[in-house]
Amino acid sequence: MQKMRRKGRLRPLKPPDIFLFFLFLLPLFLMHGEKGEVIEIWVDGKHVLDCSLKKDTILVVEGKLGTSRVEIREGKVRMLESPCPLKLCMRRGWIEKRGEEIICVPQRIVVRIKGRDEYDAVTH
Amino acid sequence: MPSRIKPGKLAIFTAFAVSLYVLETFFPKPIPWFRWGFSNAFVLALLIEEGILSAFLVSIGKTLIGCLFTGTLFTPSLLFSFTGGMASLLVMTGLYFSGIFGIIGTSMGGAGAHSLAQVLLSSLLFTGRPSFSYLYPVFLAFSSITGTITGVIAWKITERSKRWH
Repeated sequence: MQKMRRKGRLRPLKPPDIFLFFLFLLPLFLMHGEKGEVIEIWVDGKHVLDCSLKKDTILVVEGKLGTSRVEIREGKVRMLESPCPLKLCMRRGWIEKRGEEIICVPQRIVVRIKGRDEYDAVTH
Repeated sequence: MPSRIKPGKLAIFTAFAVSLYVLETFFPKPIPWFRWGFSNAFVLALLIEEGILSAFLVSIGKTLIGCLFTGTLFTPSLLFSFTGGMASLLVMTGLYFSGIFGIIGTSMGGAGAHSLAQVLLSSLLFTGRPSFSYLYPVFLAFSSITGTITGVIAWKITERSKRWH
């Protein structure tokens, strides 16, 4: 064992260690939510329609207060126009990742990008 | 590498490891299920000095007695702790005796393996099949930091433990 120490095997830090450190941090920077491909629109708890994100279009959705317009452009979705008083759904801006949602409470409209996971977390 | 097991040394290392295991539950946790894993430093130091068998015994002892003290004996926590401990021990043995990595790198690898084993086990328990979580990159980034700290502790232990022989 003393021989091993003298051979320098017991070094606390070797150059590959630093490489390993950054290798472990790498996935954090590569991690972005996956872009979605299909949106689903729910009105008042009912699934109204699915729509692909590949084609640019403007969807007209009838809600509780009137007509909302949902814009799809370049794989992203936003609430273009809504008759609701606070316009929170419009201020949500563009969404593009799986599991993201635009919710308009007064209109009872949910625009959701379909994801792989059915739930965010499990706790016990 | 001496193959003879030194009961006195194992007892001291187990006692220290359990103390750290209990102490680190007082530390704040940035995310749920996170552990600092300082007690692993004693397992790593023993792995370097006495080989895998002694480290294996202390790892089991640390898990059982530590869980007894933190009140998680016979709960899923014990299973997670045990799986993580074994995975990290195997990976640390491989990394250290490959001769490529130093103590700190070995410790980081062990911490990463610990969290990987737990992520796989939790997905296996809750969804019925092993899968990667979106959370794993976060755990891995944390394990590079906690692994570095643990590695420094293990290095200091190996420097000082000559006196305990």
